[in-house]
Amino acid sequence: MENEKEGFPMTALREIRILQLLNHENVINLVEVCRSKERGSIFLVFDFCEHDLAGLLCCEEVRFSLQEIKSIMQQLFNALFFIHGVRILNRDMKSSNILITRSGVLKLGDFGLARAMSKGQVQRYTNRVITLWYRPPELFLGERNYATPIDMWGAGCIMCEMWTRRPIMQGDSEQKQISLISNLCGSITPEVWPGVESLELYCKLQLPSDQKRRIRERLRHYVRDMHAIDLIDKLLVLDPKKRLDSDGALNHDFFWEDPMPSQSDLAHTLSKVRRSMFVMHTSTARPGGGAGVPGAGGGAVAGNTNHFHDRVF
Amino acid sequence: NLKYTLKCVSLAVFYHIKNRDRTRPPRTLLIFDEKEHPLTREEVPPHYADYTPDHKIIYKFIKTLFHAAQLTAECAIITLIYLERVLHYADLDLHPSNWKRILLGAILLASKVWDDQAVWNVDYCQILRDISVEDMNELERVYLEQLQFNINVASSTYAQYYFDLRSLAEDNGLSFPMNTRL
Repeated sequence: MENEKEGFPMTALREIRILQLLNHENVINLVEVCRSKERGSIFLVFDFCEHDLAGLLCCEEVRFSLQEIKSIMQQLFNALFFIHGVRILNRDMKSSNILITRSGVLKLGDFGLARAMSKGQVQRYTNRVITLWYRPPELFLGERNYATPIDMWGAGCIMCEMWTRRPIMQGDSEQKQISLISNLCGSITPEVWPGVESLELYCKLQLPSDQKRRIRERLRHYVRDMHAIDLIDKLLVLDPKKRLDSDGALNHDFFWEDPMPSQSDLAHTLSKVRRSMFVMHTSTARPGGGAGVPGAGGGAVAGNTNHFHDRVF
Repeated sequence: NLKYTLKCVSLAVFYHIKNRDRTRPPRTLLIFDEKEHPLTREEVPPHYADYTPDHKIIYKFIKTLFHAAQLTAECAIITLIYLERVLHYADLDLHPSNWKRILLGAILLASKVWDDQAVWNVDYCQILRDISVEDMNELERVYLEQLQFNINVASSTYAQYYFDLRSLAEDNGLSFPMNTRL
């Protein structure tokens, strides 16, 4: 795995550093780093998680109650609140990176694209991050001085999936994805998003005009709970400055009105799932699984938590 | 403030070598030995392992690397943290025969993990002309193994080192500018 000129891959070193820094119930725990003597590969060893969210959502027998959905989302926002508090961006939010143990504990995984935020002046981070379907509008427009709202957009997409069971916006190109976003969230204009016109690609992309925001009406077919719809509506906000942050999400009525989040219900439901549900071997229904962008998958780290085989308990 | 930080780090390295336990043979590893893995083509002097280098020589060595690779003052503090961590984990003595390579390994790793514009191993071969990239890679591998991949630095640890370096500077009559960013 070693590039001779680079030495030990820098992306892997930084991922290891970030994982060591992140010590939280809802973030995947790096147990150790091993090196195989013969082949020179290195392996990151994590705590074992039986499922990933994408795999569970593909499996029709697994049905989540509102309490269970609330528990999953609450744990996800707890993870984001923690990592953002220590100034780490995940930059790869997607349902297949949300791992869930048999006892209903969510672990945010895969920090291969993560980075620490620098303090102070305007930053120029790389723009080529996050799987297309979960990528927020500011990245398509060429924003490089982005921050924690990029992960909140992905959390909004994931929250929708709890009801739709499939990723909600499955574009096959950047242009297509931005059209899907406008179609759902309304046209991208300086009125709803002051300052958007100064982003590098605002004039270069074809941005659909005269699109109304249709999130609430579209979701009504899937989601009955009004608080849930309201929370999603506040996460899938075009302007990153107005998008709800993790603290705001955790304080939302969705988590504080009956029925309250229940992790024990979730554990009970999952105890009936006999196989490990990972999207990579449950799904044929998700073409292209992770429609990642070539070159975006920086961390060439072996021993990804997804690489487990079916196991029967 | 880069200059002062580098001076302080050099002083810390100097005291490590000077205050080593001389009553027993040095605890070291072959990969860090300059005779086994020379940094230059010039012949290693026969007494290379006997004399504690002057702290100016240490400063010059660090300065050359930091300037050529354009590393920051923060990176210098991390360098010292990694260096002391490897001494501690691997039970090593910093010694006239090994200080250069132990320092080089720490600088290499610090810049790769922490600097925005990191330097590749091969770039050090441009700076230290006679060293091979294979040697750099092996040095890095051993370093990571000895550190047990423990490369994170808590902000409290960083702050501790920062203040310790300041007092070291004061004790040695160096002035340390106030504005070094934490």
